[in-house]
Amino acid sequence: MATSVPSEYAGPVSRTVAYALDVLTVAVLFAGGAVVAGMIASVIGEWAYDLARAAASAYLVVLPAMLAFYGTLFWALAGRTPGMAVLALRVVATGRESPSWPSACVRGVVLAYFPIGALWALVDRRHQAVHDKLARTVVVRVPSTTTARSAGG
Amino acid sequence: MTTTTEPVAATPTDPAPVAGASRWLDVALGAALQTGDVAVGMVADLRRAASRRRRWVGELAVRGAAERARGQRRAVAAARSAVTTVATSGPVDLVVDAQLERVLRPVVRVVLDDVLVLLEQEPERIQALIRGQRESMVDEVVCRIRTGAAAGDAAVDRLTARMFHRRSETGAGAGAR
Repeated sequence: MATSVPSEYAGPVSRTVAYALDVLTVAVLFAGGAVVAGMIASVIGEWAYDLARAAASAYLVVLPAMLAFYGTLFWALAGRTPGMAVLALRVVATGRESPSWPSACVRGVVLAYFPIGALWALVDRRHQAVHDKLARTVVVRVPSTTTARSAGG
Repeated sequence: MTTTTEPVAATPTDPAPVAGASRWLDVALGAALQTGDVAVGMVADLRRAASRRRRWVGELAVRGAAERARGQRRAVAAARSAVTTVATSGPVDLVVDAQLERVLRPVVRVVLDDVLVLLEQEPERIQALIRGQRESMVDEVVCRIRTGAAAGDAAVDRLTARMFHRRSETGAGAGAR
């Protein structure tokens, strides 16, 4: 992505709201998938139903993994998750424009399993959290067409 | 304006009246001056009278305008009261209901049918309208969320900057890349 307009570092509030939206999205998708899988498994047979119940009971363990996968996928492909798109935020690498796959993976895993590290963004000069430091990324706010339209209209 | 109607008193340096034709010339000159003084006095009196009349007319106009405005307000209030009384009276309600039943409802039904047929034939017209409305609502909500989040960021920045005695770099755009 190449934007010529100046950006500013996204603050903790914007990032938290975006993260909450993403967690909500993943949780809803995962819960919906679990319900559908349970219904299918109940039709297929007893063993499949037990497997679906076990997967549903491991919700809190599987959810961070899903979140890490979700984040990795979106950051590597688009540089932003849907929650960040709502808040007009974008992840950029410090040495290049968009984060690489390993960088996105490190960022996603660290954020999903060590979310307390995000508090470092409060005191960091560039609002980099621990996962940003490890993945060498920053989160910036980009001017969007929606904002421009609303301001112009 | 100062006017002098008094005759000019003789001073010791003035020459004494002379007899003969020169005397009548002096009389004529004095009479002319006296006439001029009287005329000046009359003009001044007329001006004062005109000024008083203008002031009086102005006061009358002001009072008349005030009374006219008050009368208009009273008339409007009375008209509204009368209209309200008539419109909320029972017989008028009956008449209006009867007219609605007789005219308006069939017309609305026919027009509604026409509108529905038109929309069925050309759905893209209403679709574009609804889509535009929905997009503008979504844009407004998103813009509000972004503005609120940015304000929260700024507040947290100020707080942390005050706590750690440092200058915030949030606005340093060039450093982001």
